[in-house]
Amino acid sequence: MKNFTLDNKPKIKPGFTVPENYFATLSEKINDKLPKEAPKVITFYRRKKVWIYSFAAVVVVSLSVLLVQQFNTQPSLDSEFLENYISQNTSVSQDDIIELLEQEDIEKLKVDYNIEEDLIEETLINSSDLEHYLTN
Amino acid sequence: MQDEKVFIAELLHPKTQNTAFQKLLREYQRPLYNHIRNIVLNHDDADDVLQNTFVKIFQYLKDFKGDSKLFSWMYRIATNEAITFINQKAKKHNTTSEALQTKLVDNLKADSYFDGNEIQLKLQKAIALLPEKQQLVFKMKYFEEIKYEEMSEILGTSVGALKASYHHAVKKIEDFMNGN
Repeated sequence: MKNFTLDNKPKIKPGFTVPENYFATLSEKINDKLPKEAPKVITFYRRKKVWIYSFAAVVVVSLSVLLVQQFNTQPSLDSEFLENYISQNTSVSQDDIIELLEQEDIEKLKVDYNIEEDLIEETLINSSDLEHYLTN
Repeated sequence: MQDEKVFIAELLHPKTQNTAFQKLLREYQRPLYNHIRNIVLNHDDADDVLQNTFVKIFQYLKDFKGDSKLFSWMYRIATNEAITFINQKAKKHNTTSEALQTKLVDNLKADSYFDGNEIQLKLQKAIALLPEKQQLVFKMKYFEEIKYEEMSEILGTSVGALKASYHHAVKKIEDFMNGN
């Protein structure tokens, strides 16, 4: 062979062939080889563990409910009882309380009756009993 | 192929991964097969290497940085797989990869999946005598018509060096074809 050049057209092809339907079945073969995500296996031990945790949770919730009920059933103190108890059993005198109060608080406690003198006199004249109570 | 970034995102998303990968298979199975077959020469070997190549593409897609084109990246994997295969086969037969190439070309005559004429067979013989890199560059340029820029991305060699390799290869092949 003389004066062979690769620039000649048409180009020389490699000359390879493939079996019939090779490319039609190739993707299936490749898909079978692809790594699959392993399914999550739950072992018997793990299942058992779940049951143990569930049971423990039920016990804790039941105990909590019982304790809350126990607290709620204790008798509540009514305010009248409390007031009486304090007034009868306390050693704190009125002076002690005044000492604890600020000047401002004391001012607030003062009640201004604003009663006119004429009205007092008239009331005293009209009710003799009242004069009796006042003088005695 | 559609916008590559969108396609790569589809390949990585668990919901769209399967459909996108089937599309990738359909699109690239023939060109990658031809590329691998040109290196390993035998159909059964090409089939094995191609399947492994696609499995590796699937496995390493998550590491694909997008620095190069998806096309170049896949060709790089296919080239590495094919060359590794040839080297391992040579080692197994206790011979060099160059000697193995010559033996593989000799076997082509009896290969039922090679229907080349005398000139085609002679060209294969001429190629087998080239150094490994020149063989690769010649096959990719002459048979597969891959542009030098793309070849440069695939092989990690400068365009200038690839052109030089190709011209050396052409010269040697033409000498072989004319001289014998």
